[in-house]
Amino acid sequence: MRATIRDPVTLRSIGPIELLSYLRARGWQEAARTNLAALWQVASTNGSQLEVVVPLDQSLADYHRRIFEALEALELHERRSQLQILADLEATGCDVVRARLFVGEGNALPSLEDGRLLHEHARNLILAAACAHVEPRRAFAKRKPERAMLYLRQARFGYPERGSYTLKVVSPVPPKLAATHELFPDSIEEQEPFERGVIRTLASALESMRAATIEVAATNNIAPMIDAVNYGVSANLCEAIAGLFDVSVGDSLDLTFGWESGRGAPAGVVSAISIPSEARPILDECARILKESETVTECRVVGLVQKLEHLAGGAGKATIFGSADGEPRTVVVQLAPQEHQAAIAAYEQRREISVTGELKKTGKSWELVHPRDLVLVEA
Amino acid sequence: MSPEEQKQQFSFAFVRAVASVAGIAVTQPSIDDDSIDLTLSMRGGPGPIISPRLEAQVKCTARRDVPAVDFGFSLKIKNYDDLRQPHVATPRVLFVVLVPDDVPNWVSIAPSEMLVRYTGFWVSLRGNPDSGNATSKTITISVAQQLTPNALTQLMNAIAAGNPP
Repeated sequence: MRATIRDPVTLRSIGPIELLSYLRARGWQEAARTNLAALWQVASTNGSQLEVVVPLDQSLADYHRRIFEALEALELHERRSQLQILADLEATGCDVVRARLFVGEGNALPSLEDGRLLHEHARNLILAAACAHVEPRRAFAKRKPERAMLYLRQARFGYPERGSYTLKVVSPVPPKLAATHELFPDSIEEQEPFERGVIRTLASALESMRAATIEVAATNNIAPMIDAVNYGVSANLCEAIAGLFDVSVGDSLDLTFGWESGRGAPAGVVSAISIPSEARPILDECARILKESETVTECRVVGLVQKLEHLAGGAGKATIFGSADGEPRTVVVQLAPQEHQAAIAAYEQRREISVTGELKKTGKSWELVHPRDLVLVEA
Repeated sequence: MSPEEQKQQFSFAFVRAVASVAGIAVTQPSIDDDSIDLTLSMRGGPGPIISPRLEAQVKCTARRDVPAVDFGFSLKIKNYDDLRQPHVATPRVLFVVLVPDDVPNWVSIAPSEMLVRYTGFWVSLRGNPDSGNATSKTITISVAQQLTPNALTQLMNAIAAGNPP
């Protein structure tokens, strides 16, 4: 299909930095520049010189006209549709994750409810990778690392692509800048940006998870999945993929990664991963075990004291029924004399208490260790 | 073809003829939402801008004769506002082509020559103030700014030098 993009709003949405990065990545070179526009050139296949005027200020009255001309020139030069070029421009300066989903027969679109779930699970998938990039853990509690939460505000959903329903997440990556020896004689150490680290972790986690599900199925042992935690696998990641399988009816979930052209693909990472739908029950069980075997730090338990047990020296043990890390749980906590007295008061007054500590599974029950900040909740 | 379409086609041909003598390429943009009819471009130039470009709106009006002094021309307010924009990457001008009232007199073709009547002028409205008018604005066309190959070359050279009209 040969479509020409004329909509001024769409044309104005393409920023000068996106266009400049796109041109640079494809061999175009700047020939001249004023404070309003730059002229970029490339040799065409027939030897002639092609030119594109890049407007440098989005408030220019003719900004959209210059972008329109640039798209026309790129369409001619690359022999690709403007829609394809627009999709790549949108991803310029970004890593892109595509999840190909099957939401019904043919080119069916997801229902509003399925669409909501797809976006929620995709968000959780990216968040699980961001948390694992901060620190690999078997499970991430409701309270996530601040840096990971901040990243969720930077990454974007891209426009869905036609055909099968492809959900796209676009993760902006800072450009890799060349620093000459004259400028910085001591040479600045190259560092992976957090944004790139998240998507790299996602790719390595998904590939490790795919391989681990086969091992787990073959051995009936969770050990391979626990080993994969070091590569970014977590209960949250398993749950997010399982959630996508709830909505997608295909035989597999196909994820592909497009890497920001300036930095290229990270070493040792697979860029296309296919997770078979048979993996779904294994992922559910692995998620449960990973979650229950992880200590939840800084966990706040809020609920009613159901049972009290006196220990030596005025200390005591309380059983609280309520909410722990957002899940309904019965939690046992050992208290020092002063906190024990507060728990007795809460029990007698039928008031809820709030206490923070590290939540862990002990046998069949949940225990909150190192309790602190115990208070009676205002009625 | 309506008389208006005839005028438009003739005026475009006039600009193309003048530009071709000056060695300036003329294209018709396929996006037309802010009063631009033709784009003129030139390779090379005397200044830092190595491929100067100019965008033009082209108007054609029929008259009994060619005025000897500056004259007024009424422009739709949308066109006026589009052309007076100061903040553009490619400068904009207005070309006004004058033709005789009588269409057959627009050209005379002899065995060895073709005479085109009448002539064209250019004007830049860049940075003009908001007129406050609702429908149209009368602008002044200077007869000193005739649209000739030499005038077009000078315009393009000025743009190349970073001095847009």
